Amino acid sequence: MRVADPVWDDLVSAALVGTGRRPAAELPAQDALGTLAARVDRADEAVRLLDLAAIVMVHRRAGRRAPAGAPPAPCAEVDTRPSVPGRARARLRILLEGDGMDFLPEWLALARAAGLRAPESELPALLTAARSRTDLREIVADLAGPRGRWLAGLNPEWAWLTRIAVPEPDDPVELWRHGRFGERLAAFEALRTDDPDAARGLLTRVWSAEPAEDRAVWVAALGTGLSASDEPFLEEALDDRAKVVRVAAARLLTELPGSAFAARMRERALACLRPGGAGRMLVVPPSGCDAAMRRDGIAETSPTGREDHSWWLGEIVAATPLAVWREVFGAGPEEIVARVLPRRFAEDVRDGWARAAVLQRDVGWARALAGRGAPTRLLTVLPAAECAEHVARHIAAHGLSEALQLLTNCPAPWPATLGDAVLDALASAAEGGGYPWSFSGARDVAGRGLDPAVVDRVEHLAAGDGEWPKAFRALADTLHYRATMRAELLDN
Amino acid sequence: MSVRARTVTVMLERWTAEQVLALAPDVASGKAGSRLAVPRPWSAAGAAEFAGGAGAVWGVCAGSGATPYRTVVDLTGPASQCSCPSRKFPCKHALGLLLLWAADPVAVPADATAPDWADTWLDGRRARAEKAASAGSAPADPVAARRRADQRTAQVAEGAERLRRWLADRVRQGLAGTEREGYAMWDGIAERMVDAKAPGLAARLRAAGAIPASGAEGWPGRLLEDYAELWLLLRAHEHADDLDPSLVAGLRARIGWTVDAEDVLRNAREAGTVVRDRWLVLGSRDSTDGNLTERRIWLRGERSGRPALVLAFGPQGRAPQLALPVGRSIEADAAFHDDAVPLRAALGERAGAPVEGGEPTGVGPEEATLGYAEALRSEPWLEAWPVVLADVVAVPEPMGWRIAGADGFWLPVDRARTGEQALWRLSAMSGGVGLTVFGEYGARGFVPVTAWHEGRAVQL
Repeated sequence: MRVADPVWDDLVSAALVGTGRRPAAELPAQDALGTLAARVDRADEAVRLLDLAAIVMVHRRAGRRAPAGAPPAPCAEVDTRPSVPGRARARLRILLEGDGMDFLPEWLALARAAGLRAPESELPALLTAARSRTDLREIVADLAGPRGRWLAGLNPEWAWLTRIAVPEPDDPVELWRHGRFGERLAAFEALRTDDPDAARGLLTRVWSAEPAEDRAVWVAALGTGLSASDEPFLEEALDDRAKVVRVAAARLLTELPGSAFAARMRERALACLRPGGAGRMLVVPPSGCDAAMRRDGIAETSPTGREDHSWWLGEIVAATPLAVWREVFGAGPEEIVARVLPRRFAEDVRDGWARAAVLQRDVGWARALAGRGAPTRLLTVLPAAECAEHVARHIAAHGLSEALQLLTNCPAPWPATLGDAVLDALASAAEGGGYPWSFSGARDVAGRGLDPAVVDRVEHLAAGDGEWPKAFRALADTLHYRATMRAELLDN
Repeated sequence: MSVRARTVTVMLERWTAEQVLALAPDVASGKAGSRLAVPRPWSAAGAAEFAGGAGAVWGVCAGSGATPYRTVVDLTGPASQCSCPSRKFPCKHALGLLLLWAADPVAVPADATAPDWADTWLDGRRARAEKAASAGSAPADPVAARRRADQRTAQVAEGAERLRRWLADRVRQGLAGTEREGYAMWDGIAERMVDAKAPGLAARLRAAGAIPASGAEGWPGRLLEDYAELWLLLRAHEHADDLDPSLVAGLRARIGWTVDAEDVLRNAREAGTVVRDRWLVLGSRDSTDGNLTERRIWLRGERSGRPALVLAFGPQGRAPQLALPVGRSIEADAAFHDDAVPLRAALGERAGAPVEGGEPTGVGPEEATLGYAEALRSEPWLEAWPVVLADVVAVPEPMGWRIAGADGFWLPVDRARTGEQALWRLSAMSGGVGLTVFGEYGARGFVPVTAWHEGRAVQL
């Protein structure tokens, strides 16, 4: 804080201009400082200014007092979860500084599973890390708790945290009216769980005053407790002036099989795909993208530069309720997927089904489509055990390097079936005389994904000399490291 | 059951990982060390407690080379020895070994018997410590030493005269326009000061050179303040013969004379002014100037209540050898330099390994400013004074960060020496409710160094 000090300010002015042009003024003589200043030699104005500056500087320093202000408002909410043990806290600091291997997501997941709160001293680094790593936001927000929300309110850099729903609000209606965005979102979700129609009523009242980006989030939030009675609202949102809102509404309408939207998509889909003879499939892509299609969320041109007709076809398949196809083909997903598609459109149709399976979380379709070349996110629809088994089979059939992308998408730690499959593949590669460095990618993924409990088998593989045992030793070290990380968090 | 007198043996307390990592010379070493904190590479590892509370940890680490490294740590220093070629102290093996010891009682069992190679080194250290404690040695050739000292005095006097003329020229011509000068002007005069064996003046000039270049509002005032500070030192140096010798000691330190810690200890032993106390390690901070790393370690005597500042240096990019764990306390001798307000000290004989220290008592922001003013009265060129603040929070305000007490009185933060992360960390730990914070308060504001949160010391 700057306090007015005419004596010092005059010295600064004189020094700025130069004593050659403007000497320093006389100091007022009435106090001790003035008496001392009067004794300063005047032979050289520059020397006199520096002498005075030295005296006044010490005087100022000695006289500076703490200014008074209002005491700050403390964080009102108390986090009752225990903090992480000391050793885990030190580990987190190392992980946040980046130690080469990215074990931060696992640490966070373990801490959450153990019901702990994030150490306050590491909150700034955590909130900053999650600012650029959106995949960590939800879990960081959870671990940071009320203290994290309080802190984020002080720093605009961490505004992302104030936009994430808080857990279990006490008085949702009050919070909905007066809370910050994240609090309102949580309140809305709670209200939707209780009484979806009443919650939508509250939203309708404020709808036009909400910014576009927020309207899109509110539309997505209608996913909680979604029912046919939300359809008129969503239909109306398809005419919103903001594209993000229209897209969000179209996306949600695909989840309402009885809706007018679904009927329109069904109409379009029926025109595109039909059974052909001898297990084939006839494909007729749309001839154009009319206003009605655009209103239903289909973009006129592909953002990635895909040919127009193929793009429209894929968009329609992705937005059509999957149940339509049973009706068209009179068969389940397995048989439909087995039909031969014309080469030109095969990718668009399969990709559309896959997107629909993910959006509509349809396990049957996901199972039918999962396989070589299918998008890895299909696996997220399958139950964890089935997903692991699927990847294990994939490794056995196509080899480890083919399955890397799938493996990165399997939540760690892997179940025994998958862990065994990966270790079997590595062991046979070692026996078969493969080059260890051509498997370094797989080893990194295995280091992150394997259950640390399998370390004994890895140790066994690491016996002896040579490049492979050395590689297995490195893998075992990684597993030991993760085991230590676990033990630290559970404090045993 | 019969009651028998028995020797009380205190189990050697394992450190926490945080305390070990506080010893790391840099972030990279800490990371490398934590990767070595797994049982595999280690064999023949163990720890033991010796007479007088001293303790040691040792182990053999298989590295990439054919010969494994032998690592031994004397917890009393703490000091370490490793057969690896690293020039860092402690090296990653020593850190890894300590981390493993902290985490894993199976991998590093307590009450083990030290192997011969570890014993030899530990014995050597003990012998040297005893010898240093019992005897002091006089300089080898007093006449030559005297001549070198005179030579330097003359060189510094000449450099001081040159700097006086330079500063006078600056304010005669006016500071306006210096913001367009670039660093070359200050580097030039700073280089002259290095040649004149006055590195302290050189460092101040380089710091001053950064002010106008920053273009921040109010730079002329801050530049004049830096010039005034240099001027004060030069004037005092000019009249050193008329000043109290204790004032001259501090002045010489600021200009760039260094005093050998061994000399300080020897003098204090001869004069009987050694202070034996249990010293709480309040904080530790490294700064680098060119090739030299300076570590400042602040202590507070638990019995005497005295503050002490121990300096350690690491030349050529090496970390200083002396490292003390923040938040713990050590029973040790301290010898204070002969300063007007005693603060700088050299550590002498230590008894036992560091043990967990408590949370220090502190004062409010108002008393912190009074404490600095009081110290300034004895030594007018003091830039800052260590202080433990009680019950304070860090508050981001539009005009800058505040360190505020529960009563609302607050201190500004010296942002040139305080990172954003440290302040947010402080804010996060407090949640708006007061914490105990150690730091330095002075001419440019408060610099937080350590905070106590839920009973433990956290380096900021």
